[in-house]
Amino acid sequence: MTDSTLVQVTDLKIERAGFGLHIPSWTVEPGSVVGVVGPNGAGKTTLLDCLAGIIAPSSGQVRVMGRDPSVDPVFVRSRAGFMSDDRPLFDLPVSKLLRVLSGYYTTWDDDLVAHLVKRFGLDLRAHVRELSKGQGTCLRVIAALAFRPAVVVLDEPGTGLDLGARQALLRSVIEVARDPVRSVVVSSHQLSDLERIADALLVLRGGRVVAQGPTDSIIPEGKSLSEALVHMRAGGSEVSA
Amino acid sequence: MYTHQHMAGLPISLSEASGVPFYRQILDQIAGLVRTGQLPAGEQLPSFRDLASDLTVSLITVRRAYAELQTAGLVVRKQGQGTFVAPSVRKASKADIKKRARQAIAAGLREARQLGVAVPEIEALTRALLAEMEQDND
Repeated sequence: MTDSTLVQVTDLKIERAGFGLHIPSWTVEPGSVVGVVGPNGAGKTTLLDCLAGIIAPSSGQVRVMGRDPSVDPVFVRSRAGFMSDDRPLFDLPVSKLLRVLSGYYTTWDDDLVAHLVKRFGLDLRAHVRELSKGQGTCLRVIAALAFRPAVVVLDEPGTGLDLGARQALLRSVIEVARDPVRSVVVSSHQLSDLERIADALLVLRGGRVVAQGPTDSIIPEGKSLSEALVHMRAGGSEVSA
Repeated sequence: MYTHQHMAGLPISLSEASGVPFYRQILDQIAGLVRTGQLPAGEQLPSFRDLASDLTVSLITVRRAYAELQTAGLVVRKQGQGTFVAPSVRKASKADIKKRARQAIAAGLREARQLGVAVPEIEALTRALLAEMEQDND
């Protein structure tokens, strides 16, 4: 870990009724796309909510751009873009909603937003309530990218997207990490997409780290990520980054 | 599944359906461009980040493809400047050709083994294919 490390997690424990997440050590370095993988109940969303400061750790340390998100949520959320379908949007026309959101960020980039709206094929005149689930997801992704945050955290952004929107999403994620000082953390069930774009992976199962490290160290030559996951067992192979 | 057609820069297209790892597809296609002279000696290749972004693949994928191209002697990395087609690349040495042939054959053999084809059967198939090719050349 270096000064430029964007996310740093040390001995993180989150204890809740019937569920515990434990991550001994995990970092996100700048200029990378990091995938968080695992079945339902693995702890992916819990971890990402913890990065956003929505959930406080029971013990251990979480740092996003050097700050504790549960202590400094304003600092973190003005510099990191978080996307989750769980969070509601104001019911306004899309163009108006984007204008409202732009007021919260000094770094909001209207040109980028116009570009992304076109790429995702979003109708600016549509009301938020009229959007399909996939279109709503696209709008949330655009909002998370629009202020050019150093860290972008996307929780299951691929769910419900059609092929065109999926391509737009992958392209947009890669473009963030084209900048060597920015990174994307993305959780997904769409393993082939993650395999394609992720430089590193964190594999969780039942709240435990099953594997972590560079993507090509986790997936054996000639195998797919889903094939590789079948062979992993909790507490098994841990590849250091 | 989709195939990405490249726009500017290198004419590389990736196929998810082929099952061939992306780094291998990039490596093979750049090697082809170099061998056919479409990428001449001394030509600069796109940066890791630019090519990753253009092809919508991870940086690690492009880095691996470039590293193998370097090992194969097809490209050279100049510190702080980038990656270039090796100056000597037109004159492929016997060793290079043998190495390339070995890699191509190994890939086919590996696939045949993964399909569960037994060694004697692979040997027989190889002989039959070679015989067919000889006939075609006559």
